[in-house]
Amino acid sequence: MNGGGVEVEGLRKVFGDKTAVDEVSFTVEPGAVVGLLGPNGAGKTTVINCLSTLLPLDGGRASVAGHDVAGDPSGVRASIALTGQFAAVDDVLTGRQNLVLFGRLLKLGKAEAAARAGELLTGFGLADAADQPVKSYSGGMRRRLDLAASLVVSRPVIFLDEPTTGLDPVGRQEMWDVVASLREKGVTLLLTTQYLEEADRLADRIVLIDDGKVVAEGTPGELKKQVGGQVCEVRAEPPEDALRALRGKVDNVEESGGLIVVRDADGGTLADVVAALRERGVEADDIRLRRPTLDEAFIALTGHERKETAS
Amino acid sequence: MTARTEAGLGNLFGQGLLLAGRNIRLNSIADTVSTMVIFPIIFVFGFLALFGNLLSVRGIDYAQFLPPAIVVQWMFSVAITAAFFAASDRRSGMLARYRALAINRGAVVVGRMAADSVRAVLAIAVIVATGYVAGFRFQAGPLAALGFVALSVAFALTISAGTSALGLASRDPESVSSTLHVIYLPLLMVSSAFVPADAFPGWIEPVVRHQPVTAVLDALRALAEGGPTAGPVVKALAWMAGLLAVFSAAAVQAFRRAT
Amino acid sequence: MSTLAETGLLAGRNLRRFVKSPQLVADSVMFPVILLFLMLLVFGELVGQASRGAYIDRLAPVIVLFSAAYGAVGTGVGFFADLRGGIADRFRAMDIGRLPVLAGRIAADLARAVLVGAFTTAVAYAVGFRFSQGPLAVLAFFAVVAMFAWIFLWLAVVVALSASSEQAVSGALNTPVTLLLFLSSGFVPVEQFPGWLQPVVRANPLSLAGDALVGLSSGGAVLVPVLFTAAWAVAATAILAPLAVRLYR
Repeated sequence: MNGGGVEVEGLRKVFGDKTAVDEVSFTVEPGAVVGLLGPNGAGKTTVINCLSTLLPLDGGRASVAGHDVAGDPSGVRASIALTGQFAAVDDVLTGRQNLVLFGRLLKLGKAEAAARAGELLTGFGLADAADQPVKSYSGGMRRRLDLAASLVVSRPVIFLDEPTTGLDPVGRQEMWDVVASLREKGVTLLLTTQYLEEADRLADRIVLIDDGKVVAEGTPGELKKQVGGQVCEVRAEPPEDALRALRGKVDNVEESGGLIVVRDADGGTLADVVAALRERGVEADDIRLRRPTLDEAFIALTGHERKETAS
Repeated sequence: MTARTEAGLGNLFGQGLLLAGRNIRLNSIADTVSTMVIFPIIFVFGFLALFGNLLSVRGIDYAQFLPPAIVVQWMFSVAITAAFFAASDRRSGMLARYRALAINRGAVVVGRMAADSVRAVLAIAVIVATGYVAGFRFQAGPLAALGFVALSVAFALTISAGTSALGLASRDPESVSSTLHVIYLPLLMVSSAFVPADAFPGWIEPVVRHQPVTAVLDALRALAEGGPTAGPVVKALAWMAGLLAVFSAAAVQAFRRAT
Repeated sequence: MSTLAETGLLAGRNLRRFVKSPQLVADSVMFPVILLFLMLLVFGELVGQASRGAYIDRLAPVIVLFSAAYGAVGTGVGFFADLRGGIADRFRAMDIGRLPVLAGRIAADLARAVLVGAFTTAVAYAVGFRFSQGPLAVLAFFAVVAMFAWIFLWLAVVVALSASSEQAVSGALNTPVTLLLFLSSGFVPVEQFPGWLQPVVRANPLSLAGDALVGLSSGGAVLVPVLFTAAWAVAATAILAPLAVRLYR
């Protein structure tokens, strides 16, 4: 096996007259965590579906753990675990029954499947609810069981499609902890998310896609840098005086929501800002230099704000 | 590497049976008892009470005539349930999960067929037993009786292929099953199920005589009552083979596209 | 807001949701119409020969009643969803009492039963059904439909309040509705039933209301069947309504 990486080259997928995925290329190094970040409808799930052999490719090529997706789909399936968007577990069965079924389907013996189910239920904090039907589980518990179901047999590559969509903050934090522990085990992870914060936290590299195309790629830090240098924020009450003081002295000054933002700033800019304010005798409550947030990077790279989905 | 989990007949049937067990467990026991035991009994006695006297005037022993019709009705119900679960497995993401799992490609289909067969056999047993109480008899020996059961199950699986194609193409189990009810009701009623073809108005009699549900009913009645059976059974099998070819092609297409 | 106004508001909401859902409208309107045509086709000749008068005169009223009873299954399931879903909580937060939620559901579904009945009889006109007893009898016809629906709506509400799942609601309601349909004089005359069953068939509210509707549309006895139907409605209200209100608290 060629490690457990994922290589995608010029991937295309067309539905009717809509190109859902257009010339998408990226690589996930073995053992790395890559976040596929984009708004709803960007084509993230379609990429995952193509890589997990659910959908045939309409162009380009992709390989998972050294197996070509089109040429050796069963090799791909034997190397992956897929956790889809909908927490696909059977409601009327108990957590344990769900896990045992997946173990048995993948040819574990009866005793082995039962032991593995027990281990996973304990590992995912579901031991107390193990013999309750899944319909009594909370959203977070369902999600964890869903992920446990895909880990019944260990695989080098795991796809996680929007693992925290629809979860409350507690459920999200629990899911993040689980992902962190997977990464420690050296599993290759490709996850999709609409949450910038999530990609920032979990992923080594981010592939930003919008409207079926890769818009940017890099580490979270690189993406932030790509948007331009740092940002200087000035908080003053009222902001009008400070704004007047800065206009003409410093470039790229904007005001939004009572906060003055100077884009593309560096240490020199900071000195200029301080000097300009002092010259007019304006007192600032706070002046600081920071890296742009991923939200700002998103807007800068895609040209629009990310679409919030109703939650 | 671990054991091969995709190729081979062993995997097909082993995994198919596991999935059949899962499919059967999706129906609660209370629900199965009500739809597969209580309701068939109500329908057998209900139709007998309603139309028994009316048809005996025409020289028809309704207790002998009716049970095959109720059997066919319940084979439709098995197929509609199959469509309901196909659509809900698609909506819930279970189908995608199975398709991305390293299991035999046909196991999901075998699992569905085996579960449908179990439900079909249960319904047939209940209906035939109820019919026996009312006076229904297999008059052509045990082999013909076995043929009766086999043909009924084969019919259930045939239409199940068609309804599942519809179910797999949808994500809305409720609307799939209500659409299928609207289709099946006329197909069943405008057949020789509840009254013989000659009791229909003349203009629609040819339709009644030559539609597939009537062909299956004629074969089932021949197998139950004796007399010439080869002709009706061959005709029913021909219809079913044709339908199965169309339905299974549609189902395979829908299965491959379902994510 | 007064209880009455709230009831009206919620009934309006339920009715609008019904009218705006093509699926629901198709299900509840198409089913009786399809059944009407099929029954006529399959059993028209047979029953026509065995009874006096045209089959459609009897069949149309029975289908109207059956769809009203069958619609109560939808009421049960819908009310169960109201109780379990967030809507009931939202209403409570909006300081709408619990009684209007219940009454609003019943009022809307009564209106729905009458609407579906009106549509079914209109379609039945095409195949020979007629109102021949004057306009007052037409009004009385639909009043009997509402009275009959009323019995089953309360049954549906009680079932919805005591059931544990949606499936249980529809299961518990489908069984009695189907039994009543089979054991009624709606599809075949009473005399065609085995002797020992005939008293059951005669006492069945579906038979009684059916007789009343036949009398009010094509002629025949009216007073006695209407009184008996009313007796059923009063009995059902006396038993089921207090039970429902108690369960609801």
